[in-house]
Parts: sequence; C-alpha cells; structure tokens
Amino acid sequence: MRVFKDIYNINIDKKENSILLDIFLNNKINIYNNYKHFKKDSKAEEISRKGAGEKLHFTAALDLLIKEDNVTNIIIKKQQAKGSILEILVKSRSERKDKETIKITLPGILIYELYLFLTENILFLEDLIKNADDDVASKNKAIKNKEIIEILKDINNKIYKEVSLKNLYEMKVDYVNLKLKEYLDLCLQEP
Amino acid sequence: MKQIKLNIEEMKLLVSLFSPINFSRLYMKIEGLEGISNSLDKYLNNSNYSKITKLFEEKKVIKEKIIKNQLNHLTLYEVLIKAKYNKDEKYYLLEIKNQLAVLLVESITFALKRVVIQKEKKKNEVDFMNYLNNRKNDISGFENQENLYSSILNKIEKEIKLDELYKINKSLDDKKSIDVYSEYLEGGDYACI
Repeated sequence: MRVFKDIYNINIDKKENSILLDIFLNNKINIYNNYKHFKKDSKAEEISRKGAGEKLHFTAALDLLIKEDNVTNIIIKKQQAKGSILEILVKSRSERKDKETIKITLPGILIYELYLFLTENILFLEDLIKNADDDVASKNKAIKNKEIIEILKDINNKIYKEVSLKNLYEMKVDYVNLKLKEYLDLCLQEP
Repeated sequence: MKQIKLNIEEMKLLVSLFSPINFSRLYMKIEGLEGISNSLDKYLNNSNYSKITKLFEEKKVIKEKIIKNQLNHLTLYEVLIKAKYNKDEKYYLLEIKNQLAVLLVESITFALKRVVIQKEKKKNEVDFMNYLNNRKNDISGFENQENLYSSILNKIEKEIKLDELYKINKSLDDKKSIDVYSEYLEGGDYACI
C-alpha cells in the first residue's frame, strides 16, 4: 500500500504532454473490452451448460457471477484512474503555460496506471504497424505511429527512473489485492 | 451538435462540477456494496443459490449506476477541456454532441437542486456567534452558483428542442448494457434517431 500513497514527480516536455493528452482523449484501447469479452463468454457458457448436472450448473453459474463482478470493478477503477490522470495533465499544463518542461505530480497508484496505460498503448501501436497495409497512406501512418511509440517509451523510461524497478514490482503485486474502495480513495487523494 | 457560449465563471463552475477529483460524490453507495459482499460470504458457505444470485444482482445494479455516472461525468469533463477560448470576446465555445448536451442538462439540474438545498440549510443554520452579533449567514457563494447554473441552463434550453430531449432521454434509458451505453455516448451526433 505504501508505494501507492507515495507521491512521484515526472518532468515532461510540451510535446510529450500533448501526445499524452491526445492519447487519453482519443483512447483506442477500450475500457469496456473486458466486459464485451465477458458477455460473449457467458453466452457460450450458457449454451454449453445445457444438459449439465445440477452441481456443475451451480459452480459454473457462480463462476460467471464472480467474473462479472470483477469485470465491473475493473471498469470503475479504470474510469476513475483515467479521469484523475487526465485532470492532473490538464492542470499541470495550464499552470506552466509559458514553460518548456511540465512537472506532473502523481500518487503511486496513478503513476502505476499511467505506466500500464502507456505500455498497453505501445503494444497496440506496434501491432498496428505490424499489420499495416502496403499503401502510401498506411505507411505514412505507420511512420507517425513509430514516432509516438518512441515518445511513449521515453515517458515510460522517466517513470522507471523515478519509481525504480523494485517499487514498480511491489506495485504489481499489491495492485491485484486492492479493494475497490481502497483503490478509489487512493485515486481521489490530492497530490 | 450544439454550440454553447460560456463565460469564464460558468466554465470554471462546470469544470469543478465534472472534475474527476470530485467524483467521490458518485461513490456513496460503495459502502453498501461491502455490506452485500459480507452477506454473500455467508450464503456462499451453504450454497444458497437463489440468495446468492439475488445479492449479485443487487451489486450489479449499484455498480452499473456508478459506471454510467462516472462515464457521464468523464465524457462531459473531456468536452469541457476541449472547449475553445475566444480571447477577444472572452467566452468559451462549447461544442457538444446532442446526447451529451442532454446529460449536461441533467447533471446541472441535479447540481442546481443540491446548491438550493445547501443554501437553505445554511440560511437556517443558527450559528451562535452570528446570533450574538445579530449577523446573517453568508449565502452569497451558493447564490452565485445558483445564478450561474440557471444561466447555463437557459443557454442550453435555447438549443435543445423538447422532442429531441425526450428521444435522447429514452435512448439513454434503453441502453442498459455498459458497453452499448458507452458506444452511444462516443458515437456520432444522434439528432434524428
């Protein structure tokens, strides 16, 4: 828990800030994908369950209920984290309008979420490049995406430097055990 | 798409209304969720399936409500921070999709209600020091907010037609599932559904 309460500072430049804002505002990685998968899975489950014994029926149905409960928890968490990070990015930028570097101050929980978000976006963009079509427009788009990936990697490196691998690993372990209420309280603390 | 001109004061108030750091208001029911989880543990032990299903259903209803509220606030916050500022005439130009304008109206109406209640409460509070000095409670802050919210509502009122409001509200109610609901908010301008 301590690592999530600690406050971290990262200096980013204007360009990095705009890229981050742009990605946050036009996020292609959908928070609700898990939920969609869940809905698909549960339909398949229901079909396969027909004809199964009573005991199996109960455990399988319970399993689905627990899964759905977890999926909705994740959506609540991710939406709050997204909002909190977005607000901090916007405020930090407006406070330092005339400066080249922008200092963003985030509590541990949000820096961990930012790290996850960046990494997921990097993987997503790399995938786009890999599967890009062979025409000029797609190639140009791929070049632009490569630039964005480099910038996101730079920001991620800054996070590594500030947080240290040891703390990041500690976060990884604690993250899964965070209860919904604890998580939200951590996101809502004023840095 | 609606275009609404907001002055600086109105904009500031709306940003703070939808600011994610203030979302704690949306989480009041989370304590209740914990209570349900505790009862669940009890019924899980003796495999009381009908009770378990009912409790999970209760949890689901609360959580979906929280998710939709979060999403409404978050989306409106994003719209606000994208608003363009006109330096010469000193106003923000809010460009907002029809379905979001309807949500904006709803949120402001609730906020206005809360402010009026807080104002009345403050007015009637008997503060001992004030009583001794024959002073009245200062409610100017609430009055100011009340006026600003009303003025924003007036501006949106001019843009939205009544049948449009009805249609969009109905569509929002119909979108029960979270993913469908989020797609509806993200989607194009739903003026003529």
